[in-house]
Amino acid sequence: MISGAEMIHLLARNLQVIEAQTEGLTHADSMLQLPFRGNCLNWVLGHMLVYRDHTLKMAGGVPLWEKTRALPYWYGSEAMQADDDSVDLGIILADLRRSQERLAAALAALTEAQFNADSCDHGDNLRECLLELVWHDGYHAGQIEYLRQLTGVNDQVMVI
Amino acid sequence: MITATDMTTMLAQNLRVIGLQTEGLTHGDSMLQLPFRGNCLNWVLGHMLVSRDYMLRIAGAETLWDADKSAPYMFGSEEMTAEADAVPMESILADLQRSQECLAEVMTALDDGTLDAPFENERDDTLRKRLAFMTWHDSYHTGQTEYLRQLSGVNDKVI
Repeated sequence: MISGAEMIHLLARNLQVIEAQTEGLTHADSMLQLPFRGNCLNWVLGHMLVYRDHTLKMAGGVPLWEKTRALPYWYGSEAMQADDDSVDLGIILADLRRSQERLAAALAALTEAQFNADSCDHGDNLRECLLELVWHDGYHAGQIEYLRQLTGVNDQVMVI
Repeated sequence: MITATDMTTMLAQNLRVIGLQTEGLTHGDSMLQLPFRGNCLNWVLGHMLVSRDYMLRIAGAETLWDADKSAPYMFGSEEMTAEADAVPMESILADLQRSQECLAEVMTALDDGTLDAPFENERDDTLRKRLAFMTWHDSYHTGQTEYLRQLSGVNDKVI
């Protein structure tokens, strides 16, 4: 079964993708809207942070964002178009780095018994729930590639 | 350590998402081009198939596509804009289903000794790590299909 260290590794890879795909972008770039249904870069990154916070809570850690800040980035929230709802891109990126550190500590501290405990509502045990959240992080990491190109940079910043 | 079952479960989840995100779309929809740099849905799905074929190959099994069919979908291939190079979307989707069955059978048959044997690659040093990377790669591209569905103008939310 997947270990905490392997989950940390997967999350770290997603953070590498985020760093590469947001290099040189501004907060305004992150608010650009797709010409079809779909949320902007700012929402996707904030959404990843909120779900990492959820992962942290499940792993016994302390989340970074309070409920009010997290709300516009939850699943099912309104499409983010106005600047007044959004957290600054630089802050989200800094918090994603902090979340990686907290997740690494929290996941590394979990015992096998805790991983295998029936303590969540999405999977047979905590390990399965955490794996689902790690999968979710990778799913959205792939979308960032397009959201970078939406700004018109017309480049290829990573080899995947 | 991540198991073959962990990986095939994630691959199955990706396939489920692909099924939902392509529901009701045509081959023509899959060839629509993004208004910025980025490949079309047909390329992304074919690229996922080719990458799954790579997983099959390194796991010791036969691939579904030959080199000629795979070439337009390999990493670094030319942007897919002409119908001439494209495999019909329905055929790709059927082959992704087949690849799931093949991968589930082949990967779960691998023992720990085989999974942890040295694997020569610039990124990963065991077969297990390489397969885990490719599983992540599959999820990465699965996320992109959400936007590529919306490019067709359906304006819906299927997952």
